[in-house]
Amino acid sequence: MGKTAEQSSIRVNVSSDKKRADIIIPPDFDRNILCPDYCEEILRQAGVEITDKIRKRIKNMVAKTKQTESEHPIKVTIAKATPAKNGQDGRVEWKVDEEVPEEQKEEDQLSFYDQSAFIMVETGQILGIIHPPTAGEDGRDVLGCTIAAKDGKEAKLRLDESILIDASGNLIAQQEGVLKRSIDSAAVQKCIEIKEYVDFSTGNIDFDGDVIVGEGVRDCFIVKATGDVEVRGLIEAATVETGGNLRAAGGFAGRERGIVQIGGSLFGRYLDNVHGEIQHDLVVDREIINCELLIHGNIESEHGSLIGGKMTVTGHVIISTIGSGAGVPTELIIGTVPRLEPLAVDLSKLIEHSTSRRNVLMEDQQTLNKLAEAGRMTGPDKERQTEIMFEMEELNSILAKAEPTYQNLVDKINQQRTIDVYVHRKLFSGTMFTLGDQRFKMNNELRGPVRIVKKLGTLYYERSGADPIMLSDVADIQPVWNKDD
Amino acid sequence: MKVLLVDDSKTMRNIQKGIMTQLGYGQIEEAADGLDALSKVGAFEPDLMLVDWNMPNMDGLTFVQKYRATGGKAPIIMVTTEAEKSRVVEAIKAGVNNYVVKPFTPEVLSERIKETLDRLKAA
Repeated sequence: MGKTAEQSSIRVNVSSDKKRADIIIPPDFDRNILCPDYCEEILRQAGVEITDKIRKRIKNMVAKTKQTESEHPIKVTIAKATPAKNGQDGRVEWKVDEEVPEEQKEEDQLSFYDQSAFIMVETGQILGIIHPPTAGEDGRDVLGCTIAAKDGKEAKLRLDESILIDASGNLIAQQEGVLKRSIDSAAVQKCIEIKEYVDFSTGNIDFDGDVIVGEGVRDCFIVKATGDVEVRGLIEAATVETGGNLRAAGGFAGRERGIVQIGGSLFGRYLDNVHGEIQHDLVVDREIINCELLIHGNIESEHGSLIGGKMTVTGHVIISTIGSGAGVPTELIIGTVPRLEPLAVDLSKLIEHSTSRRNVLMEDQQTLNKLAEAGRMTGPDKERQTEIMFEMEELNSILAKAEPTYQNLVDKINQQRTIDVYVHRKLFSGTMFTLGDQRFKMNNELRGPVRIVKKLGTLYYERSGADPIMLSDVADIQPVWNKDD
Repeated sequence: MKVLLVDDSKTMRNIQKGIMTQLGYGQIEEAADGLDALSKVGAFEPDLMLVDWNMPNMDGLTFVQKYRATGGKAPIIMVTTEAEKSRVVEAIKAGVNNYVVKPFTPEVLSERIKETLDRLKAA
């Protein structure tokens, strides 16, 4: 049986996805009628879009086929689709993650304590940039139909008022703080929350805002905050500096290296070997052991014990016991206003010096006046008189300002000075109360509740319903410079 | 305004400097005697001078005479213990514009300075 007309003619095969069109030339096809126009027509009839590129391919294919003898059909891919290019999704490029150059790392030589795990940012800092999505580019199949492309999607990033996006897509911090990021959100927070410990995983903390520590603070680490600090676990031999309050829920075991500088009040479970200064109150649940603290407010520890150490306090003291049965030296310096007293001392010295100098000058002045009356003043005497006049005027000016200022200061100190120590349970022997230049060292214990107050220039103790008794009855009075203490 | 203070007493110069500063004159140069003043007056070109009379090396009067001889026109106030009338006349003839007698108060010195400068403005 002979071949059919169909079997001997050129065929065009378009793939099912219309991405490819092949020309198939049977081996016995008459090469004399094989020409580009003929092939083009065949393709057109099959619906294939004819472009210049395809025409070129047809031409090459025809030239090559005419020179080729083959026993098998020749199949040539004459057209391919242009694929669609989908757009790129928008994305956030963070600038805060950029690597510090090696040279700078060496220069800075941060200790392991200082290498912070937090990204601290400043107001106005460019945190990153949001790149917009790009549009897709449509493709074209072999039949000339459009293959639709997808546009990219916008980057998903939820922000609050702490981060602004400007017209260029820059992410700008609107406040100082710590940058908190997740997959689809970002914010600058004024509060750092550390889930576990302040340790080598976090580095030292130095933050403009509040700090919350879920566990504790390890030895030798530093926590500084302009706001409040809350530590839910134990603070070890660390340093804590706050502009606000410190809450040490788990206590503070300073082991002689615990240091505090507290701008507000310190609330703690217990304090052991802690040194430093507290601008407001000290409120402790349990013991205050071997601490040396300057407290500008009150000590409030109704159920607590003060054992060992030295506490200087401006306000009142409420405590359960002071000292211990073993007679541990425990000193309480009371009736002091440490913020103002040094100023008063300096002013007092200035006034004394100026008054003394003025008195000397007045004597010299009198001597010169006598010479003037006797008509025996020399040139140098007149010069000296001028000098005395100028110096006296200057001293009078200083004293005119210093004396009322000093008086105001003294009045303020007296207003703020509080001598009121209330002991609920017991005041042990060995406890010392220092008031000015006198130290009252208890040589007997006193059962509470008892209140220590100042009357008639000295300390008394009083119990409810009873007359006050001089503390010197149960204490030895020593001058403060006594080295035997 | 530039002021040259000529006095052998450091204390007096300090007093005068204090007053000049209070009056708002910030550019102040000092000389310890007439010779020292002559060496500085050319480069400094003061707008006012306070000159003591009795000084070692060259007294105030001699300095004023030599300064005026070179064509110097800055106003000069003599600050001196010499209160005798004849000496005052001698100073004015030498070219001094005004004088202050020690002991003086800061007010008196400021008054003399203002008076001297006002007179010159009026002229």
